[in-house]
Order: sequence, then C-alpha cells, then structure tokens
Amino acid sequence: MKVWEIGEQQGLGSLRAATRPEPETTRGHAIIKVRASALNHRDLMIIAKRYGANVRPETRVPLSDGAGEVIAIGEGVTDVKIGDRVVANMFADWTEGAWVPGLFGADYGNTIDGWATERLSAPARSLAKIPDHLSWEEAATIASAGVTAWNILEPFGHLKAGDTVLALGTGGVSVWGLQLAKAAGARVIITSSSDQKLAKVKALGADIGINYKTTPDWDKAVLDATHGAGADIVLETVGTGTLTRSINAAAFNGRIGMVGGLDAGQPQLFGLVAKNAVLGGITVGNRRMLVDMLKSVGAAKIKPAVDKVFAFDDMPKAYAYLESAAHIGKVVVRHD
Amino acid sequence: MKTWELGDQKGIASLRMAERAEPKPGPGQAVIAVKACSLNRRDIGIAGGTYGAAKPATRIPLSDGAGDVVAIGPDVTGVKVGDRVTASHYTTWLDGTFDPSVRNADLGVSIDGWLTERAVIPAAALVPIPDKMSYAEAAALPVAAVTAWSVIEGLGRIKSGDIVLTLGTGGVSIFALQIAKMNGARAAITSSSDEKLARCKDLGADIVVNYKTRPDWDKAIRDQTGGRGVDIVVETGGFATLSQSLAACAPNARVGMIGALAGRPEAPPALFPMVGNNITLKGITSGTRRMFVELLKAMDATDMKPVIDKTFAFDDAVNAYQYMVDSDFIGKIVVSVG
Repeated sequence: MKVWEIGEQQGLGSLRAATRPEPETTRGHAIIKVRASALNHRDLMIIAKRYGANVRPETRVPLSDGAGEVIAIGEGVTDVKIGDRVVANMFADWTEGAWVPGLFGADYGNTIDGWATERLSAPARSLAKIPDHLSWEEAATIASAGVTAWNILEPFGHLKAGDTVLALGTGGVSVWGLQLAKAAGARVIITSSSDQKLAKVKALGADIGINYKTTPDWDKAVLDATHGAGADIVLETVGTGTLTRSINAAAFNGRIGMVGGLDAGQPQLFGLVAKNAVLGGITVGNRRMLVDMLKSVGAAKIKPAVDKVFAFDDMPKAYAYLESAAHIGKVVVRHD
Repeated sequence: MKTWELGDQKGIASLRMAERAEPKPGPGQAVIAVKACSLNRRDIGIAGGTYGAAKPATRIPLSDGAGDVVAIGPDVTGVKVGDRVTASHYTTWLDGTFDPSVRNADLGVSIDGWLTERAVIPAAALVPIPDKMSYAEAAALPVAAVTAWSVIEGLGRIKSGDIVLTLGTGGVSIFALQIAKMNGARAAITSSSDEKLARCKDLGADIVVNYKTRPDWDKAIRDQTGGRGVDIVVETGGFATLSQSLAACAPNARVGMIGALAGRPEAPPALFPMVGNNITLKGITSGTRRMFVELLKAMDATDMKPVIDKTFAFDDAVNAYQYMVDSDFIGKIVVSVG
C-alpha cells in the first residue's frame, strides 16, 4: 500500500511517498480503508520540525484527521464492526475525563502513524461512527478542528442559546465553531482580513463579519455589535498577539478558549479580573467530546466547510495550499 | 450613635468619628447593632482615595461585619429582630454569575458599611451566623473567606486529594489554606518569613516555601508534589507572580486571580503552560451570598475557626488600619464594636 512519510522534517519538501506492506490485524485494533484525510496547521509545523519534542522518525505517517471504513477488526474489539464508517479522536488514548500530558504518547500523525495512508491500523477505542449525511471528505475534517471547537463551546464554554460566540479568523477551528454554535442557537461573530472570506462565512451562518484589516480595533466593533455586552465565548485561535483584544471583546463572565500560538505579543490580562472572565488552554478534546459533537453534527445536519480537495498523490500540493492560507474551512485529501 | 466616616480620603488620617441619629430601616432594610468588623487590604486604598472614584465624605467604611438585628423595615421577610447576622458585601449579588452592577451596592464602598455602632444593611444580603461562631469570627469572613471559597469551590471544584497553592499569609491566603484542608486537600503556601511558614504548618499547611530563599518557588512546589504540580491556585500575588504560579500547575489546574490584589503586570505573564496543560485562569471578584452560606455550613460542620491576628477597640479603628499597613500580620485584623 502507499503511504506518505514526514522524512527529515526540513519543510514541505521533506514529505515523501513510500510503499509498505498491508497492516496486520492486531488485538484491540481496527484496520481502516482510508477514504479521505484532512490537514491542520500543526501538520505544517510537524513537517518543519517546529512541533513538540521533535523526536519523530522519518517514517512517521502524518495527519491527525481522516475518515474511512472498517475492513478488519482484531481480537477484543467490540465498539466497531466491519463496514462502519469512522473517524478517530486525535489523542488515541484520551477516551474520557480530564487531560493528562501522557496522552501525547498516542497522537495520530505526531507520535503514532496518522491518516496519510491507504490503510490505517487504529486503536479501536479511539474510533467513533460518523453521521450518514456526511461525505468522506466532510467527515475527514472533524477530528481535531471540530473537537477543539466543541471543547471550547460546550465542556469549557457551557454554550446556551442566545450566547454570542466570537471566532477569530476563518481556519478550521473557527469555521467549525461557527457551525456548531449556530446549531446551538448562538449568535456568531467572525473576524477575517478578507471581505471575500467574510462573505463566505456569512453564507455559512455568521451573523456579523468584521474585517480586522480595515477595522483594527475589532474588539470595539464586537462590543458595538453586542450593545456593549461583548462575546460570551471566544475561540481564541490566534494566540497571545490577539489576546488583549479578545479579552476586551469578551462579556462579563466570558469564556475564552485559547488554542493558538503563545509566542507573540504582550497580552494585558487585567480585563479578566474586571470581567470575571475565564481563560482556558485547550488541547483538542477527548473521544467523549467527539461522540457528543458527532451527535450534534448529525442532528443539525451540519455540512462541514471543505475548501478544496486534493488527490492522494498530490499530498504535497495540499500542504502548499494550506501554507498559502487561501482556504476557508478545511483542506482535504481524497484517498481512492 | 457613634460612627466612622471616610472623610476626604487622603489616607488613614482622613478617617473621622461622627455622631449621628439612630438609623431607621427603610423598606427591605435591617438595622444591625454591630458587634465586630474586620479590615481588608482594599480598605487602605479606599481610605487613601485610590480605590475607584471618590466616595462621599460621610461614607461609613468596612465591608465586613457582624451583629444583632435590632430593627427591620417593611417587606423584610428573611430575618427577624434578635437574629445574629453577617452579610454578603456585594449586597445584590445573591447567586449566579457576576454582574458589574453588584458594585453599585458594595458595603463600605458604594453604600455605607460596618464601622458604626448601628449599620443599615439590605436585608436580602444578611446571612445568619452559626450558634457556635463568635461575632468577631463571623466578621472576619465576608470578603476574604468568600473570595477564597469562590476560587476553591466555585471555580476550582475542589476534591479531596487535590493540592491547593496560595501565596503569602494575608486574609485570603490563610482562608484558602483552611478551606483546602477542610475539603481533604493538601495545601501549599509561600511566604518570605520562616516564622510565618511555621505558623502555616500549625494551621495544616503541607508544603511551605520561603520565596526569599527559594526565588524559584514554583520548582520547589513542583518538587514537593512529586513533579505533578498543584490543582488549584488562589493567586493572591497578582500578575507579578502569575508566571510562576502557572509553572507550578498540574494539568487541568484552575487558577483564580483575585481582583483587588491583582495590580498591573510589569512584564507580561508567561502563559505558555496554559495550553499544553489545559489550565483555566479566571478573574475572581469575591463571591455570592449563596457561596457565603455554603462556607458557613462547611465551617460549622468542620469547626474551622478564622485566624484573627489582632483585635482593636472601636475608638481605635484608625490604629487597626495603621496596623494593617505597618505590621507583619497573619490572617485578619478585627475591630470590636460596642
């Protein structure tokens, strides 16, 4: 079978095609015929050796997101059966409960082989069944960006109908946040540097779009758009460079879920105290959150925003497209 | 009756004694014969004119107090004459999430407080005192103990076996230590004084670190927790200590920043551990009446006694303020009234 490997991790050029024997069926594992995979920003970091401890072998298969069909199961597998359409939680061992750092030990596309392959042997406890209305390409976008957005909105943010949700930018987490928030009766504000992208997210249901290039004090624009109340939940997908404005834009008792980079800017946190706001570090989520999120996706018939689909053999082009930041929603690869 | 007033708020010396007519309760109000009050750090700022906008010169100071109900106005149903009571200092924040409007009815700040022989308090904010608790003990609680409870229970959802870190030995910190212990948690506390740390050990502290001799106190705490770090931080040190507090955190830690003590950071705090460890940081502006009721129930059940450093007479209230500024106190400073 064909796979992609991360090679020497010196940048996009390191991505290399390889051929391997078919995976064997082992205890507790399912063999998945991969039908589609999806890229995340961190895949660009991994291929450039800028993510985590950077001790990955050259033969590591990348990508933490994908979807496929179970074609074989090992001994002791009870949760899925042959023929099931499934996705996997990014942290394969994080099935329930609170975060522990050891979960990085089984992280698809980082510390264990990921989805850039024709067939994947996956720990069955990490798998979840996908709703019928989703195509393979749509389902492939769920696991990391979708679960991250769900974690911020629900377990962390306790979203209620009528809340205002602010999402920064039009990347995967923000667009998933938009769609899940709308399904829950919330009002959604999205920022972008492009009016064209804002028009697209409005078509997906965003109530208000703010161009942060033409409105640099977008935090004030959020307050104006909410009659001074601010956003109840913020998907802070950018990092410390935007955090001061995110706190300014937050409501009293606001919940700010932080997933972005933490290396730029000098955030002013005083507003957290004045507003009794909560700032939370978010590391994707557990399988329970994935299952809950899929229930919402199925009930609301959410169609994930797939920006562009590449062929499996064009994997490097998919990476290059993601790096160009021209996308809205997810960059997907088809595997057949 | 005798009462203290803020005066022109140029410092502690501005506090002045005045004679007033006995107050009569309006609708929804109770008159309390005050038996004891206590001081908080913010009272120094209020007396010095540095805590929010200037207050009327006749404002009666202090957010914390306790006494007996001696009269009730029309439409008061929750208390009766003779009840022993204290009160939630945000008198309109009875339950639920924070609303900035609660600052409009804050005892000793935006409405008259407790440093008087007879106080007029909105009856809805009153909280009955357990029988075995003294007035001085009850008067020690409203701001500092409820703040500690708000971080540890409201935000932190403490479980037995958790580790709670608090910084310094002021009112909030000592209550944090005691509330942690009553919940079956381990308590870690820092101070610049070995003598104070010894006192904290007597109060049940499991891990004590002198931050003068161990400037890397976050590492010291991590070492003493087997490398795991702490589950809840009652961040009384403000933004200046936040980077080290975050570095001392276990995965999924809950960190409560105490409003009045936060100050402004000289350097931006290092937030890096927050994402990797799924840490939650929340601003805490004291707590609700419901939290106060829960706290009193817990104190009654576990026989927890507030640590009162020193008690001053009503006529010597200025000296109580000065003692808070000058001394190395532990826990609370109380004024006895009547």
